[in-house]
Amino acid sequence: MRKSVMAKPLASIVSAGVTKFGAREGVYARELFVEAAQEAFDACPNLSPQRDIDGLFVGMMSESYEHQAHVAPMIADWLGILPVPAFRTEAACASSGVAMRCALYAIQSGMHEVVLVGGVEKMTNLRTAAVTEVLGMASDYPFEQWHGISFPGIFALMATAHMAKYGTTEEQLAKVAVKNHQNGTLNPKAHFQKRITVDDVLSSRVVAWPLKLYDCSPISDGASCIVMTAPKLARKFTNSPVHIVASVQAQDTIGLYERDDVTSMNVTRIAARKAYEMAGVRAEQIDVAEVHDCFTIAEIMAYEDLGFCSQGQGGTLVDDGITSLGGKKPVNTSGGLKAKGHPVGATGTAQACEIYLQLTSQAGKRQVDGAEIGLTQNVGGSASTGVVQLYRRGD
Amino acid sequence: MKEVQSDKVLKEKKPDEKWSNWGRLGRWNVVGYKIIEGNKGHRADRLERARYMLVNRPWDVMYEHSYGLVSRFFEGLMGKRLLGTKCTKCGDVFCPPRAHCWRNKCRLAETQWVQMPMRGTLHCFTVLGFAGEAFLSDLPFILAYVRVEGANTLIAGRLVGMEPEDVECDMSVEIRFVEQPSGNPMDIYFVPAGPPLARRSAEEKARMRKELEPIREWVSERFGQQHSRQ
Repeated sequence: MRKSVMAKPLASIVSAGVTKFGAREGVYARELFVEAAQEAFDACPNLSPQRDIDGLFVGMMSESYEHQAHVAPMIADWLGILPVPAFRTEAACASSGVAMRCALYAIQSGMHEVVLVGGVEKMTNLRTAAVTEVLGMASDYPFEQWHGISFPGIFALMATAHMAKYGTTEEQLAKVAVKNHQNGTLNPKAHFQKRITVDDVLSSRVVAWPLKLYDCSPISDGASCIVMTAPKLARKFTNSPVHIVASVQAQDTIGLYERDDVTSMNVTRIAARKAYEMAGVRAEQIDVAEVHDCFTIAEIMAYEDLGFCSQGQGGTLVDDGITSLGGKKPVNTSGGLKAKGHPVGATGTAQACEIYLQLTSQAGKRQVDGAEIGLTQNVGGSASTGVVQLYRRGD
Repeated sequence: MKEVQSDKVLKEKKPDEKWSNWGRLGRWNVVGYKIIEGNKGHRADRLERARYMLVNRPWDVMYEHSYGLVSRFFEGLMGKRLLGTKCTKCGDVFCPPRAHCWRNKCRLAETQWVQMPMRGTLHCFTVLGFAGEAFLSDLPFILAYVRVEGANTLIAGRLVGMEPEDVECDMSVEIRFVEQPSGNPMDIYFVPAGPPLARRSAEEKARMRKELEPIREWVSERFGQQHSRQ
């Protein structure tokens, strides 16, 4: 069925690349980025990186993993595209979602025409407890971090509130993990390549009750990138571009303690509403979505805040298989942060990469037939940053 | 022109000498290494073997930072007084404090200090089963976000004096101070007040208890006898 979404493209994606996500012990962050870029360059023979790329945007959250700041010039250097201007953005787990928006500004302003946008994080250099602390820096200092609260803890607080208010169950949370692990087995880039059962989730170690180990995205290394151009140039590089037709960002309090209601993400709700308006798209028209399932509860809240169902009904969507591959509204076909992995800086553009593959029919075994309109939702910290973007297949 | 006065230390607790070595101890040294043959390649189904070297290098820091414009809150904690701030324009009450109002219509109005009651309502909670390095030996502990009576915000703290399976959102709590406060947000903690809400069934409680049991075992295995900060 042909859809009548003809919203004006803000920019076009003409190629994409993602590394294998996982514990990538043998490489540096910059080498991971090269791996992702190489895939994007190889897939786009008309692109000459040295000649065409006039800007680089990189999302990365923390210097702590490799003791390396000033990563934008470093990555430009490693990609062999010096002296193009390079920018790094930091918005915790939404770092590269925000990088995409900065690239959009650059293209929309007319000052840039072909840019490389990506993200990277090399997290496994630190032990799990230390990674917990580094990630925790995206919560409030001193009123949250000092209590030993972790990000699983922050999302567990949302989960207990959601359970108390709407009756969401631990089983429904577990089903999100089962679904995304299933999708992960169809994605050779995914951190996890194995199916799990509801029982596996429920019997795994409690990380922050009610969230267990399998409710949490893993600590991963990885990089991802897209080649973004002004819409009028897209055909120079590919016959099958994907257009970005809406991009909205919203912010909320840094601390979860300053919210009236922690069962919904204001940033997602606000950004989604504006994005649908911007593109003239309704939630029902979305064919495939990549949402920010850093924890299973976050995917359930995303369904509600993106308008895939009403508030409080997120659990029933996964109960009924609606968001499974083959369901009416497939969500996180890549495996999501949960199974594909969550190298935080790489996540935003990795979501865009998956939508690019889906809308250009390159998603292999996890292809959603005839997908034309896609959505990504990328969240930073305690949903203090939210980015919602809409994509459509080039005509 | 008014003369610029130099800073005066009004009160001080010097850090123990042992902390002065904190940064120096592990600085830059390679204290261990491995040569590894591992996997290389960007798809799980097309991997090759590759050799790399891995090193261990400890590094750490000690911060010296002020509590900024809300320092009085922390001084209050040391004197066992729970303080908040109040916007003089809209009347919103912040606990934890904010030095300026959050509403844009109040145009960053400076807030006033107010004393808060030692009562509140638990908004939401979690039972931590893993944490940052400094908190591992305390596991499992109940972390609650509580709305102090009269406040527009929530404050984080530990809930004690109750089994995790009995904790419910919306329950009343009393706020208490640790015996020797040190100007740390953890100087306060919560205890249950009033009758239990008892919304959770006996089966649900048993299940939650069972889910948390392995944490207790892990902690006592790793750290010996369990100990708590309170």
